[in-house]
Amino acid sequence: MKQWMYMIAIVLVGLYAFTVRAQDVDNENDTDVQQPVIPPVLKAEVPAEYPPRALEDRVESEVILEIDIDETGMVEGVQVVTPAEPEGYGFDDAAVNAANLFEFEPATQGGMPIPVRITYRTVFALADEPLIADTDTAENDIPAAEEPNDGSAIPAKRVLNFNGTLKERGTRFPLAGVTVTIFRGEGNVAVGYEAVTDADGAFGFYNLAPGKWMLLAEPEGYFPLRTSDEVVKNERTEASYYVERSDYNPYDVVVEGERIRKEVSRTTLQIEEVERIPGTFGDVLTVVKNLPGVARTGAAAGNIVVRGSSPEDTQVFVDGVEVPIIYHFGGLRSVIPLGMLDRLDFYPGNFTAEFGRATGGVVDVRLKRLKPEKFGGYVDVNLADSGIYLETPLGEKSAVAAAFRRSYIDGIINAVVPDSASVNLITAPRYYDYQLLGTFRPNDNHELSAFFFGSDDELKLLFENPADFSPDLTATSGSTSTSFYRTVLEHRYMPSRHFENVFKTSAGRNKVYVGLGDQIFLDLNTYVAQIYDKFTVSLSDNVKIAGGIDYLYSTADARIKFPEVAKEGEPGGRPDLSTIQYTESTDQVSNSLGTFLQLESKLFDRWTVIPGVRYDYFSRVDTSSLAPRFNTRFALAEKWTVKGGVGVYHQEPSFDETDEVFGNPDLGLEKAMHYSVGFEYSPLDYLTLDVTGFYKDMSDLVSRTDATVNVNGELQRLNYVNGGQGRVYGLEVMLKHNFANNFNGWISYTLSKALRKDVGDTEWRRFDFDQTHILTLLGSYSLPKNWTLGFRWRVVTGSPDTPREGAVYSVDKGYYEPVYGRPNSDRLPTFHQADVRLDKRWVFDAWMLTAYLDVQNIYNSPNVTGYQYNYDSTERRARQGLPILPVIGVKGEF
Amino acid sequence: MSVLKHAFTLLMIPVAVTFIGVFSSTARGAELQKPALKQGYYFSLIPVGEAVLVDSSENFGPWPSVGGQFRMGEELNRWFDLGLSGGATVAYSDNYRLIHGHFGLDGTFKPTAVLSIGLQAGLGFGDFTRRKPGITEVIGRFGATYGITVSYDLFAGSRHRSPHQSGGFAMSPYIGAHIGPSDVTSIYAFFVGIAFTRWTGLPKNRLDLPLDEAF
Repeated sequence: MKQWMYMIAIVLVGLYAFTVRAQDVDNENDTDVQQPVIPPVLKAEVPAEYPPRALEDRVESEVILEIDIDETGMVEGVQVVTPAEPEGYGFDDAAVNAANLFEFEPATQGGMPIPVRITYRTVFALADEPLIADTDTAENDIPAAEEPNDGSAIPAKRVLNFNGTLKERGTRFPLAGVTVTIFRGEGNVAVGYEAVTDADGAFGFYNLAPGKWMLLAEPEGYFPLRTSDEVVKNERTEASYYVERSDYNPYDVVVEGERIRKEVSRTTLQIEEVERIPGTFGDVLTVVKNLPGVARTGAAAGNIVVRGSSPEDTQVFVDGVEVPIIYHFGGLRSVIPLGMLDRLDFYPGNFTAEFGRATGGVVDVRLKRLKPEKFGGYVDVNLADSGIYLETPLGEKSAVAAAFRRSYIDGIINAVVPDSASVNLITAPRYYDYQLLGTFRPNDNHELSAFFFGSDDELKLLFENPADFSPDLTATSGSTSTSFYRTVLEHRYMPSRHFENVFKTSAGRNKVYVGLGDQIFLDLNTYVAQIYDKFTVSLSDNVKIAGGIDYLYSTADARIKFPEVAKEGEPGGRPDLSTIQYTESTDQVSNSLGTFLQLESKLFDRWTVIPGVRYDYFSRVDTSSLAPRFNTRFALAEKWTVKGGVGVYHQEPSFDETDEVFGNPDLGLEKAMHYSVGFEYSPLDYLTLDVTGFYKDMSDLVSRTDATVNVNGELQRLNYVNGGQGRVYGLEVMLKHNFANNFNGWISYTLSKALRKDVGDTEWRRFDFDQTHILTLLGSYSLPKNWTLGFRWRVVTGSPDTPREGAVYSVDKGYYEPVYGRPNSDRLPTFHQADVRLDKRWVFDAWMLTAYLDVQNIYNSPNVTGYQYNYDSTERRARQGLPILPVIGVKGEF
Repeated sequence: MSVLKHAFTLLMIPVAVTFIGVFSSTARGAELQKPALKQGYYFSLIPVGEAVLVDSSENFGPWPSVGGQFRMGEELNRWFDLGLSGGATVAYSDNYRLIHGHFGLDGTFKPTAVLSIGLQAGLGFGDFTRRKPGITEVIGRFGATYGITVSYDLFAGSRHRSPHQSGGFAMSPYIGAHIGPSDVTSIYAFFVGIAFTRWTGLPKNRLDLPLDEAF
């Protein structure tokens, strides 16, 4: 291996190289050893006396010394490494005598002084070729202290005439503690010196003779830097060098330790570990659909179905703030870009009292706490959209980040859809989102942040012949749009490690419009405000109390002209336009107040119990609820933990279900009981097996009814009552391989049964998303040369389907009305699909470029998403899902 | 199609990943490589002649066709290259017109220094028009395509090359097959051609070079 390097090393001497003296290093703390060593600084240099006979004979030379420096900066010993030539003039003794009198600021590592050995060159040069002394030197410069003392010679006048900085290629992070060698010549005429980079990656060389010099740096884990530079007489050479890491693994930045687990079921996804999963377009929120307990909802579905609960039963929070949508159209993208996120916590059930207003699950998206070390960001371009993210520090206490993304699917679809199609897309579909995040940390106790974010989705289309879709339809255009924005102000107060308080307030607007001209529309405009405060008091290392308040206010203006639409368990089919009704309201105020208190206690060092209680009041249904919850974990052994939980959960009906015209304003809360029990096993540091059995008992579910009620002598339909029931039980298995051995991924499997019983029914029926088996295998493998290969394979039991048993011609409506079988008594065929993703990263000096090819449904599985029937329901044709779809994208990071 | 019908494809993915992983482990870290001809990025242009068989309601062909393919990627280690490939061929006569192509992932295994076995998976398309008196029948296809290729690399001027040369230019006899299976219309193509490949070689700082060539 590199024989020439050994040859050079033998003849090299150092001007100011140093090594940590291993025998003196405290190896108990590995972290300190890995921190860069800050070299010693010479504060008192004693000039070497020029040997008189050498001065008389006008002989120049140099001596290479090794100097041992202790923790106080004093010289412990001096050895001659390379004696002077020619011998006999006394250069060696003069250099050693002077070096013994040096005084240094000691070298440090992690802020602690340490003993080091340095290599030092003493140059004996005559005064007839002086170099220009330059006092504008680098931080690690050693003042030139050797002045001529007899007017005839200037021994070792030190002039910095070559300085540079060493940075990591692509990221521009400085490389500290790296030995840089500069040399020229070979064999007996070889000469070279070493320097060590400081915390800023800076290094320097003194008194280099003019000419071409070779420069070498070989930091561990990097490809060597080999280059050459020219030193010009009486000038200083300055240069920046970028060294390429052998592997720019995205997982290198995952440094956060595992948080203490409290809940029975929580999966935390770090952003970096999911960025390259196929079929997700690098979007962490879409990865949630691959976790245990989450049903498959179709490629174009932007909802999350958790443990047999309806999509609206699962709450999504962005840093604790409720948002109306988390995905843009079709679930392709989430409304928060990757750069803003720190992690995602997913609770499929048995979440603690901190979270409320949901009977299903919770998705809690956490923003990253901005601490950028430099101005940076990324630009992401793919077939669906383009986005930009920028972040920068503002002084030492503040930072700001901004992002924007805009889709151009509308342009692509318009180019692809032929003019002869019966639907013309005017805006189809278009989305954008924007974010601005700022943080300020005046001191260690306070942290202030402001976050402004929003999203806008829109789809507009024209129908050439609306009757193609429904005989009653006369509107020739349709549109749907959803937009929202929020401003969030947060103050985090941490006066000691025993107390923390987070106060948060947010305000914003939601705007939703769905319409087919003037024939059918829903126009909803809502202003919302939220106040949230959570405190945590640590009474001891094992006992903690947390509590808080969560107040949500909204006022809405609504205009609705809509027919009866299919609810869960009802066949979709064609909407009956004869059922269209109209309502209009303004300033409909709704308040929700939630408070919670929970104790987190650890008993006997291995048993964690978390009892808690939550109180909620919902003004729309004028009802309050009390929800006790209990979670526990017990560490059976070092690698085994058993866990369990039980809790009560409530949520209010949806907006339309409590409307006076479309729903029933006298509805009450829906309720669910969650039960979970399971175990975790960690056979290896990077491998965990999590098995959880669950049972969910739902009651008071909103269910459609034909019953009527007498209001002032007039019979009115109730529309809905709280008479539905639900029952879900199953088993979730998650085998997760955290990043190790170049691989990360998981196998998740859910075995479940989700049933519903509507009001008036005597038998249970399948829930719309009752999927008995859900198996997902996914992972990404980090290959050499910055390639990453990702794969995902899913097999899911087909969703329930309501069969058609025929059709009856309706003279009134002028078309055949289908006759349906028992709701959800049939099933679609089993779904299975494989996706593959290939990433390649190119590294340039100041930035990096990643290109990827994401091939979804690589074997073109013809998955059935439903059936399309002919006019009298005597024939049907399978509607197929996504065909094989290659998507290309690039991302530039700097 | 059933799950079992795709078993081969499904198995290919983990097997390929395992294979790559096993052989790539020695290439991790910042170890320098000995100079070789197949190093760095590669780009191939491959004129091919094909025999294409279309399996629809009845079998058509095989039809002779001509076209071109490309392959581009990077050498990951001594045993494996990874990249993309694509191509299209066209056949035309009074009775038919056929355009067939593919684009997707391309992995190349190198059991010896000069023999390459490529596996491809990706998107395929086929447009077949059959003409009969008074009838023009158009059969289209859009779906997954898989392929296998074998090539033997002959490097130009290799006798005179420097022992420290990284990268080069190769001409390679090239044969292979592409299969586009489908319940409705399947396409099978068998082709021969000559691959003209340029290997960029590795930068000097990734190679173990003598001092006079290293800087």
